[in-house]
Amino acid sequence: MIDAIVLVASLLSFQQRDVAPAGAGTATVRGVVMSTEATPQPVRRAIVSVAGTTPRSAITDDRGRFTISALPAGSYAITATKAAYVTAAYGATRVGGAGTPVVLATGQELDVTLSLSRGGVIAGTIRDEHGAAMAGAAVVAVNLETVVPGSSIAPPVTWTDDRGGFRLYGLAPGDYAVAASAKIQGQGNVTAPSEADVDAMLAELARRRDGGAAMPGAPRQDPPLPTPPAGGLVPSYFPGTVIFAEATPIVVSAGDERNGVDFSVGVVRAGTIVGALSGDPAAISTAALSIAPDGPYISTLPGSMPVLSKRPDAAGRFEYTGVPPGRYRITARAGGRVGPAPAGAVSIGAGGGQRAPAPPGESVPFVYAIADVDLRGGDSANALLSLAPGRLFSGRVVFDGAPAPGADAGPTTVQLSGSGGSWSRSVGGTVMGNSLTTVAPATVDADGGFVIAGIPPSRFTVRATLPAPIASPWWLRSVMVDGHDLIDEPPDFSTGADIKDAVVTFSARHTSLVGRLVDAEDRPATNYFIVVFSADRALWLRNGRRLRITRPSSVGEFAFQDLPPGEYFLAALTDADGAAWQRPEFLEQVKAAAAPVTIDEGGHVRRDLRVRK
Amino acid sequence: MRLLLTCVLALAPQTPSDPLGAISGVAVDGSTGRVLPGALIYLVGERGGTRAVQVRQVTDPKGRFVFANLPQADQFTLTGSKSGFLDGFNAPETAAAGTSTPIRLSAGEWFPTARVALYPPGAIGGRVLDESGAPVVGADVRLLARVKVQGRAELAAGPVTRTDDRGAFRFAGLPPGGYVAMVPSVQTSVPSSITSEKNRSGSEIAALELNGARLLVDRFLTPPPPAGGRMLVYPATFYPGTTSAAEAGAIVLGYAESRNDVEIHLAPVPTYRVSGIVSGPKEALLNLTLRLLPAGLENLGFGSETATALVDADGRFAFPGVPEGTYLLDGPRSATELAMAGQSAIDVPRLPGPPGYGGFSSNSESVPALPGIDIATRTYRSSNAPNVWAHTPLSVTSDMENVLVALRSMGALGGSVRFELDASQKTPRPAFYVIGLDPASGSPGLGLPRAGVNQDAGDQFLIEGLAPAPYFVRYSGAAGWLVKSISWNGRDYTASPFDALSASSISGVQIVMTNAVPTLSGIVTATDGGLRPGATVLVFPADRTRWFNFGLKPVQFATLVAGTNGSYQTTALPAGDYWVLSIAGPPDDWMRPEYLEIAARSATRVTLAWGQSATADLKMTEIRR
Repeated sequence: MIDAIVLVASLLSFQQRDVAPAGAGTATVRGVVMSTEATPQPVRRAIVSVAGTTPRSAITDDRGRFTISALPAGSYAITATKAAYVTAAYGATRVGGAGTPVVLATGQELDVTLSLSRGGVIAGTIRDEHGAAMAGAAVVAVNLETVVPGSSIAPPVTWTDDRGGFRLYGLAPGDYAVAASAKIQGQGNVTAPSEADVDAMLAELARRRDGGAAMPGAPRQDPPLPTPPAGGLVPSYFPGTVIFAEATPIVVSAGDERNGVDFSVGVVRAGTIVGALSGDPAAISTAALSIAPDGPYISTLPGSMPVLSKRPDAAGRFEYTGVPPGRYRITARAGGRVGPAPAGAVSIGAGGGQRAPAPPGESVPFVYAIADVDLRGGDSANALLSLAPGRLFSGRVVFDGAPAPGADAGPTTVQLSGSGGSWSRSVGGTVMGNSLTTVAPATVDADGGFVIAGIPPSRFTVRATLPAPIASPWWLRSVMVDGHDLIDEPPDFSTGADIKDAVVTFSARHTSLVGRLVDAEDRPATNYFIVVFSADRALWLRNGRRLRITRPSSVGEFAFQDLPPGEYFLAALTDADGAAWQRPEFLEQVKAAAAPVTIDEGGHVRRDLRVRK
Repeated sequence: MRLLLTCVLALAPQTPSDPLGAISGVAVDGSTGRVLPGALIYLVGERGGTRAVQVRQVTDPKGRFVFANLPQADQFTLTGSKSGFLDGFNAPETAAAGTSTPIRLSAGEWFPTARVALYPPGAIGGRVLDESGAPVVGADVRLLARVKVQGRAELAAGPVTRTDDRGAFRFAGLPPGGYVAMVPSVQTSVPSSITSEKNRSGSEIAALELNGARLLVDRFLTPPPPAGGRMLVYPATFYPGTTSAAEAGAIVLGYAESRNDVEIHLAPVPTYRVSGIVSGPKEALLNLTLRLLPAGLENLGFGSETATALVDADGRFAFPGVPEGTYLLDGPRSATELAMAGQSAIDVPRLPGPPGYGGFSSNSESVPALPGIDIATRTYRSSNAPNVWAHTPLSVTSDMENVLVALRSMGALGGSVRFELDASQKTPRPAFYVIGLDPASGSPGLGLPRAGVNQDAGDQFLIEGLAPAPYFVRYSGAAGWLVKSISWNGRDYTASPFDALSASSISGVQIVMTNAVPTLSGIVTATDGGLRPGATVLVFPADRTRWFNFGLKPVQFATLVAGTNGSYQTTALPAGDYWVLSIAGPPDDWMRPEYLEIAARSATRVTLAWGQSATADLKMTEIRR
């Protein structure tokens, strides 16, 4: 009669001060927090924080005023927060946008005004499939600007009340998909028979009771009744689809209230995926399978998982049951390292099931198969997976501009990362997630060589990491193959080729591009964004290292560190909305008004900008 | 520690020749009789005290369900859930016993008339307003349920919600009962030597630097700015606007009733600064959290503190904002409280945690004596922290410096367990089980301390971290085993508690287990002679001295439900003399001497002996109080 739920939560993490409080400063930031209504009002009980070497906070009084004193000289970011408002950074040019740091001199007293905008509201009603209000359903808003399909996300949840109503508030401006899941109780498989299924089962039970063929007194040997179809619980997106890509985005501006976001959720009839795995018979018998929904996996919403009801048999046939409608990616992987791995190697998250015996430490190359399955139209779908050997990525690490560090500093690693991060959720024998396509980092050997084998057919970004004690003078300059830099042109292993003889260069020759932005009267211009981008359109990789943005400080100074050598354009923009400034069409327009800059190997460039009227 | 080892078998017969049973029926709205399509019906089959079958099915458009292909089981129970309705166990006919009418199938039988009645819940809605009448946004609001433990009034922690951008809150899905609504407000501080606090999502937690302590300000209510270096805080406030639980406005709900006008008014109060030093072993100071509990709310655990403070490595602590009042200063290993069942699930909102990291965990345990209520325990220290605590009354009427708090040792109780195997019984001895302590007073603040015991480790147990109080020793583990005797220093403790465990250790307690358990069974009939499926059967000890101070997990009390064939049965009662009677529906709080006195007059006396079966066929009676 014991029921226990054990939750272990690390709620806070603390950073112990290395040195005694650096207090004893003499600078002061004071000011007022105002609302952004047509007639701005002071905002009371807002929390104003300054982030710098000494983070400090204050609460605004009834006139919206605050004072933070005894700050040491330095550069500080100032923010204001209040429930239902979008956190505001000092100097931001739009709601929720990036702010500008303020530079405080010893004894300086700075007076600032921060503008707090009410966040957007998304409100609506969740109903079940019969149209009844659903209480206790979990609802989240997924910011479409930041979500990466295939990743696992954990947006905060709100729950519907007894009238099915929900209200998500304090939302930063942006496009949102709204998802909801029904509340579901208990454990065990769920079946969802139709009315006809129930009629048939009851008729069969009545037939067996009334017309039993069995001898009196002898137990009957009736076969089991057909099992009714399984049901699945899966988040639905507004306006009522289980497919992330079909969600209707809800555009929220500051202070907007978007009502009427009404849709229905519930236990849906689940289907079956019948699969066939082909390839080397030894690999088939040892293959590990995982399944992942397309779109993000929302870990904060309840949901049921498909069940791998039949593992691949000798002929490679397998089956997933209880699969809610949707699109899925199935990954199969076999092989891998057996026995204790050599020192320095990193084991891979998900287990690979039963493996063929092999000498400890010996590596059996990974083989992979990936298939996308669409289970929307009917109760079943097929998946054909053909196992093929993993790819190889090899090369060597070199050091430029300073003596190469000794081998005793610790392991240098080269790593391939997928776009969705690595996540998995495992129940029974079923694994959901993308961790089978996670590639273990390679440790660079004493001669600087590295080999990553068994790479799945997928796209990756390349990273290399030095051991922490020696990392400081170095930056990752390039990963060159045949004149191409894989940092700027990420490798795609789905085309089938191995990549060999890559040269990974760590450089001690840093670059910098610094400058000062002034207005026509030579005063610091702070209300701008500074962007720098490669002159070569082919290198405009989203969030890549050749597309950078920053804000000038309160004295107008800006700086970009370690831009790879090359031709660039530098420009000041009045606004740069989210990631939209990285769009090629936009950059093409900016180019015309931008200043060309050349960064040489180890070059330090100063380029001041003046805002023209 | 894995407390529940649930054996879940697939829906397959035990052997190919076993005939398969079936259960079918309908889900209805208990208040109207209307059928409920889309309800989730949850079937559990028990065999030998473990869950052998658990399956769920969604009812069809006519509210029907059919579970076929059922293997043999001792009994099946059905419950259901549907949004807009209370979970099945909250039906009036099952609330007191905590279980629905068991269905007992003979081999291959089909039980076609199961009925799962779900009832609509109540709701409580309102607003939180500050001293200027402005709505308070994002405030945590908590409900507390008024419950009775051994006839004594207690509050059980209920659901938590948060006000929206209009200051409004609403609790839905509430079972009938009495409630109290409150806005918790825990002033959470850390030493100044800690400069950076990150929340779970990795963002910085804002803090005010105040006289050597950092007060975390974005966790509970944002206070007004300090005036003259002195904090003003919103104290924890009960509806309609009092800081006293005793003066809180009662909210009583029936099925489907709602209250929409619960306005809670907050007002800031001036505070004093309380600082000092904790003395004790250096290892005990690591991540030690001090809790300041208002007098009268000591049993209302986590989230009801006036303040919590993390001590620094030297034991220094500071509470920067304490309103005038009388408090208990607690330096806990763990804190225990009554909680409405289901509040520890991960998919419900919860209050911010205490300062400190690592080691903070929570678990909850249901106890048969309190259906619908869990005993929830929050552990504040890692299990290897020294076995010490602080527990000091503190009266605050001015600033206080250099308050000395001494960490004191806690009691311990240990011994060994011997299993007397009766080979005629099929129950194998468990390899892993739990020996726990049960405070005789039933005071939830004492918790249910326990220790896991392994056969491999010689069946030795040691339970540490005990606050001084009388405790019964209890076994929990595999079904089919009962405590036969408990002895220590030549005295028998089978039915009496160990007393006065103050900073002392009791060792060498000997527990004897037996699987020759008594069986009590019988048939319940109405006065007209008809069978009464679903009738409640109460069992309680004949010895009147055992009618009070029996703890939270009394072994000689039982609430049973007659099955679909009118029979009841239990193998969970130890040998002894008992009263047994059957009634239509017992009160929530029947384990009181006054009630038992009256009930005994209509009851049947039975004697249970180890390894023996006893039968008591019962006629339903009505108890007038």
